[in-house]
Amino acid sequence: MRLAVKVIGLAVTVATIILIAFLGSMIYSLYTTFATGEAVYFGDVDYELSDGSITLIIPVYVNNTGLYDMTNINVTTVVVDGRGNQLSCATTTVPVVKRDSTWQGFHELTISLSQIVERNLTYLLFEEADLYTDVLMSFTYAKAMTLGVSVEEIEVPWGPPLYGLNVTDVTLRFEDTTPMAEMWIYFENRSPIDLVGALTVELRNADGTLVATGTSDLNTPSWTAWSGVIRMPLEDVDLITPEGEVWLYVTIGGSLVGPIVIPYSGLGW
Amino acid sequence: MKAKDIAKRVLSAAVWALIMGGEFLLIYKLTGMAEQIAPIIPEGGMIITSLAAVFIAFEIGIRLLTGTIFRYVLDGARAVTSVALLAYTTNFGVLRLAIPVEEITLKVTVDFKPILAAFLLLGVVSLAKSIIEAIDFASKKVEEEV
Repeated sequence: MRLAVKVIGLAVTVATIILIAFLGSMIYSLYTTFATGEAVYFGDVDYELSDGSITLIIPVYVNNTGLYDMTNINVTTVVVDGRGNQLSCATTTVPVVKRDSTWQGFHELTISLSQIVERNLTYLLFEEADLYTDVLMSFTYAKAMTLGVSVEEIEVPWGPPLYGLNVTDVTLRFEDTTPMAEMWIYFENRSPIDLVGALTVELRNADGTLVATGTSDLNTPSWTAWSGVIRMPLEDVDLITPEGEVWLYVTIGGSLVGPIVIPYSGLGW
Repeated sequence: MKAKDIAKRVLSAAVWALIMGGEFLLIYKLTGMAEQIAPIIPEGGMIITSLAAVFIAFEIGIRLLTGTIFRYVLDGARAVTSVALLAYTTNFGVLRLAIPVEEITLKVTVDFKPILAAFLLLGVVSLAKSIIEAIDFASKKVEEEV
């Protein structure tokens, strides 16, 4: 009995020493890894426009200089507007970064312009605003401890692609013998992406019936203004009413965004 | 019991109390570690101090009561108390901290449940060992009387 007790006592002592040594080495390793300031860092953001969405491509670097592996690395970002509407949520997962190794990849955050219109958040297309981003990063270290770091409500300025969109001078006139409707359109592209695509305009009367339609090419680099006159032939002049709506569609990145509805009044010959 | 034996036990208790937590408490208090940890882990001071105090108190009791069954009772009680205290003060292995950095606040979550589980297991084994030792001690006493 005495020998058995001694063996148990010795085993407990040795196991405790090993556990404390493991804990100590893990904390030391974690500290030295993160003290470099380059254990996990993000590069310069790049922007891409495709399928009617703005994608923010954020390079992520993980440099594990510690004694143990980093597993289940998870980076999650959630973007909401000032009214609390969630605009985007993205997660990047890295299964493992072994000790003394590095990993680099991209965290892609997509904001869909089509969804902005669908969810009636069109103010984001026309007005400057502040977006709020929550960032959560977590990983398991040495398969024994999970560390999570989160920062909430990081303020990020939002640049609208159609800032100050204005439709004016909606008029009717004859071009030779063809009845035409025309209007002047102006906006500034304050987004970080270049708008390349087409602008389609539909003139609808008070009943919502399509009266005329026209298209113009768009090529508006970031932080430049676009203005132009859209001319549309009228097939049936009797459909014209003094009040109505202008429906705008923007084809950008291969996707149709719209309609953006702007009312007009006082239209006549 | 002679005064020499009592002095020996007191000295042994003092030395073992120093080894089993006293030295860590001194390092923690005298090297400024307490001031460094306090802003990051507000409960850190309480966790370290209370754990060290429990270990020191039990070690003194165990050394002073050597040769009696109460030594094993205290040994078992120490295993249970230290494990319960560790689990309670560390929120059962999940620590949540808020660290202000310039204008933002970093919310840090440390989940070390596997490590806590290992400590709990060692505590249970220690308790089992103390119970076996107490039974062994009691049976030997009975045998001596017979």
